[in-house]
Order: sequence, then structure tokens, then C-alpha cells
Amino acid sequence: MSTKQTQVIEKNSLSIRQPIIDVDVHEMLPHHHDLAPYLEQPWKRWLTECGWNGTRQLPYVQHLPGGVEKMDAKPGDGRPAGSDYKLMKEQLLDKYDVEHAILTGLFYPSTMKAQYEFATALASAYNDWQIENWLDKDSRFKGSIHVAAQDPHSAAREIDRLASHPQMVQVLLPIASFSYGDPFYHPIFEAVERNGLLIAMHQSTHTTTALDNGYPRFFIDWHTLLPQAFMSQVVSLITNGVFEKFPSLKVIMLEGGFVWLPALMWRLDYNYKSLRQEVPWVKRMPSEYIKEHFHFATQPIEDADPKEMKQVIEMIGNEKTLLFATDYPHWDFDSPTRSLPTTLSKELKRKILFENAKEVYGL
Amino acid sequence: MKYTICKKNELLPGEKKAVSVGKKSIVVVCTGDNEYHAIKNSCPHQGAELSEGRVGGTTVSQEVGVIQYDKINEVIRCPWHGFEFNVKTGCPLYPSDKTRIKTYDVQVEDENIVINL
Repeated sequence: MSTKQTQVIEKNSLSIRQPIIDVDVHEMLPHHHDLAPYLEQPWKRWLTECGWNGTRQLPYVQHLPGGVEKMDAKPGDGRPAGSDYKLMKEQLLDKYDVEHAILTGLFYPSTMKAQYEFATALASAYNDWQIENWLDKDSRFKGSIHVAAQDPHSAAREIDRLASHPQMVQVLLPIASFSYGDPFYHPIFEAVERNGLLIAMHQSTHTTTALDNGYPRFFIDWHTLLPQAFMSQVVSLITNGVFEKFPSLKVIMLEGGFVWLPALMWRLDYNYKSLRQEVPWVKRMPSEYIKEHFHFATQPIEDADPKEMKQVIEMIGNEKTLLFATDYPHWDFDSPTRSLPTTLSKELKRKILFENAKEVYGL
Repeated sequence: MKYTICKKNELLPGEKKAVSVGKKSIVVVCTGDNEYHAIKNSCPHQGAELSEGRVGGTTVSQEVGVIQYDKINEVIRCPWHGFEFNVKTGCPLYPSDKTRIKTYDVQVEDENIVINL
């Protein structure tokens, strides 16, 4: 079947207009040197003269037609997929009636393990680049404030600097090998809460899984096991009392799955009954914090039996929990018209595709 | 109907005593001077005998990251999974609308601890 025919069928599958809010769209830097105009000295010189070659790449070859990228999203001129606004507009925003696309980038200075001041400067430069090259071009784009979380007080200042931008909606924290629930990171949450923003957590090249120092032998292992790190962050935020300390904080978990939620809620609730003495600031059953404070992006939704997937979604126990994401322009993109289980009611699909994100982001 | 459990000086603060009254297995706990409480001697979770667990206090927190020790001698912990229960109310220390251990009326009469069933 040709691409054109596929699109016709997809359009016909929607009898009424179904706008989309896509909560995970990756705008990409063509090259990290493009940040130079947004950096002050000495950081500009660090970038242009000292041979810095970007945040570390994932230590795997991805055995996919386009590597990490969707083949048809490549601009064809050597720039990475996701770096061309017109192509993104055509392939995502216009094609799927995307009312809002939450930009999440893929340039995460929080994962730099040294030279924190440089990381802070890079985050700030990236934010300014994002505003000029993406947010200013299309009002459908909503932005993420990137920070260097390893310096939480500088991160808080960056959040304060940009929170009033009308298209900035969240602060992005990449998931690596450290727990964001630790009080060390609380100044970030304090700044997020004070500015009425959200936290979004996304997998990164530094996301580690449980064994083999975080990077198992094969990419298929690592990619399958990414939920381990997401589970760890969920538990960490709850047991460290983040939601008692910052009661209006909301956290969006991007690209880490969601079908594991029922099991995690059962296990954490069960352990809480035995081990509450260790964390007495946790006042409610852990699953209540999950249902109230977390949202999970659907992508990459497992290709499971639709009846069983419906059961899992029902077991999560809150129809507001899931938010739709495509992950454009990456290889594990989810189609807005073809990825959600066919067994879900139209009402629930509409919540996942649009209403839930509209409410949580206040759009 | 009243049943004498023991002399009150035989059960000091923080101590507990398992007794069988008819077919009922009950654990009596001394929570303080002249303060005695009795609950069914069975954890509602998986049926462990609470009399085999520990009586003590628990941790409380008014501020995230700050722990205090409180409710001294008012809490019994199951010997198996460590679930905590308030011996005065029979309620678990985790939030629950469903779980509650049956409590029994205890009095001191003529230097004896007496349970009223």
C-alpha cells in the first residue's frame, strides 16, 4: 500500500474532527555548534574552539531503517530528522490536526557529569534557540525549559527567567542514573511550582537499566527495560515526599510506558503498609499520589491484544492519567489515528488524544 | 461477661499478654500507667498472631525529611510483615477505610485487669 492510500484510510477512520495534543515532539538542533550565537563567553569559546562534541551518544547501533529516526522524517540534506520546521509542519502538525505540540528536544545538559557551569550555559542557550527557531514560528508549539539539574539553584534561576514566556509549559528533566526525588533536586520543583509549570521526564542516552552498569549487551534489552528507570523515578518522588512538599506539582512521564503502572501501584502500596515508618512524611497510599500527580505518555504503546490493553488501562484507575504522544520524528513514532487500542470508547480516546493534556497543561 | 486477665502489676507499659477467652484469642497491651487495651489477636492481613509481634511507638513527621518518634507503646506491629496497628482503635497506621481490628473493652477492677466481652 502506498503512503498516499494509507493517509486516505487514516482520514476516513475519523468521522468527526479529532484535534490532537501531542505531548512528545522532538525538535532537533541541526548541529550543537548552532548554539554558539546564544552563548556568552567563555562558553561560546568552549563550544567553538575547544572541541566539545555534544552530549554523549547512546552506545548502541540501532538496527532500524533510519537509525533512531523515522526514515521519511529525514530532511535529506544531512540534517537530523526533526530539525526542519516545514517538514514537521507537513508531516505532523497539519496532517494530524495537531492543536498543540509539546516540544521536548533531545539536547539534555542535565546528563553532563562535569563542568556544571557549562551545562547551565548550554541549557540556557538551547532555550533561547528553541524560542527563536521553533516557538516563534508556530503558536501550536509549546516549549520545555531545559536546565542543568546537577546545579539545581542555577536551574531554578533559568526556570524563573523563562517561565513567563507564553509558550513555555514545562521543565524537562531527562532520566539518567540518579533519583530526582532526592532533596538535592527540590529547588527545581520549588521553582516549577512557584511558576505554575509542570515537570516532564523523558528517557535519554543516559537512562540506565538495572544490570550491566546500566547498558546491557543489546539495544533491544536496553529499550525494552527503560521502564525500570521510570518506575524508579516515580517511586523516588513519592517516598521522598515531593508531593507533600510541593502539593500542586504535576509530573509527565514521557516515553517510558505505562502498562506497568498497576503492578507498581500494588507493590508500592503493599510495601508502604510494612515500611511506612521509614518515610512517615508519606501520608497517603502511594497509588493515590500516582493517580493525582502523574501523567504518562502513551508512546511507545505496546502492540498488545486490544482487549487486554483496555483491561490494563482500566486497572490504572484514572481516565485522566494517559496523554497521547507521537515521539515524532523517531523510529518508534505512534500514529494518532492507528496506535490506540480499538477497544477504547470514543470518549476515552478523545480524553487521551486531547482533553487530558488540555486540562493538565491548561491549554 | 467479665473475665480477669491478670493482676495489673503483671503487665507493665509496653508489655502485652495473649489470652484465650472462650474461642476468642485476644492480646492485651499496657499502653501506659493504668492504661490497658485489647484487640483481636490476629492480623487482618494473613492471620499472624499479633501477640508474637512488637509493641512500641512509631515514626511521625510534620515536615518532609524530619522524623519524630511518637505514640509510644500504642502501636503493635505484626510479627510477619510489620503492618502497624493502633491498639487503642484497632486501626492500621496506613490509610484504610476497610481494615480495622476488633477491639475489646478493658477495665481495672480491684487491681485486676478485666476484659468485658
